[in-house]
Amino acid sequence: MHRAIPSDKLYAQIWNRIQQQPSLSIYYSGKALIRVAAAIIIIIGLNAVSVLAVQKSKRVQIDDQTGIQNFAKEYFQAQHKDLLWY
Amino acid sequence: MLDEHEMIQGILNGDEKAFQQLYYEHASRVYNTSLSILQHQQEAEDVTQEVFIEIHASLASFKFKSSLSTWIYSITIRTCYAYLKKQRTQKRFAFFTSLFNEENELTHDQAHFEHPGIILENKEHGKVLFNALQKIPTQQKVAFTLVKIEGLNYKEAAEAMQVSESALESLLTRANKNLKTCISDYYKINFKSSAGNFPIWLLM
Repeated sequence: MHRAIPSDKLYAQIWNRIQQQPSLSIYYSGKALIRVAAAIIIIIGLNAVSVLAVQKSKRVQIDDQTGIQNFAKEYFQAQHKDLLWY
Repeated sequence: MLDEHEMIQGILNGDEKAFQQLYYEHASRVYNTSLSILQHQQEAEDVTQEVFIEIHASLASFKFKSSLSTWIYSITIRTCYAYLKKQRTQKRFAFFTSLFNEENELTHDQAHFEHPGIILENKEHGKVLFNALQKIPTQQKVAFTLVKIEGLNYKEAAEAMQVSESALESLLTRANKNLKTCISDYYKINFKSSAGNFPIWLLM
């Protein structure tokens, strides 16, 4: 099979585009940098969300525990108020 | 005429003549590969443009781990895949349009692709082959194009496709099998016989 030949003006079009965008290599590396930055931001964001979620669940546990302790204390005091001198 | 290293250095230094040499040495390969995969002359030219612009932009990262032509083939295949993906996305949102304009002229390309590189007496066989190529999976089509049409050896084609040689062999075996089925069916339907007249050497 013989090789088909692209049109004559194709080279001129390519060179014109390259001349009009001299910073194409900066453009390609810029795109890559933006993607890396976006990935880092997403990872940091996910980490922050999971840390906040863990902290909130600990606070709930502590609140629950404090609530239970207070209830136990009040119940004991109510049951045995004659024994308590304070 | 510069050798490869001098040519690349020249391009990195902004020498247009060096880039022109690179273009004239490799444009035909890029264009023909794209043409065989996309089966559309305008799209093949668009892909050729994109490929050479990317070559110019990323030539600094080429470290001679493979040959320059293999590297250029891999960029061409990647660009063709991206083009095919874009076409599939566009088809999802397409609307029906008429094939003919107000002057009764055909506005869309014909359904059967005629490769401009095929000589006259083989045009009919060429149409059958390229029509069959459209029906097989893209990776098999690319493997067949690189080895059987572009004439790359297995090692070069595997590097260009970024697969192992055994994976390439498997793709070629499946491509041959699928193409034989498509072509036999075509001849059975249109000539009520098997593909006896088809240049079967193309599939070996």
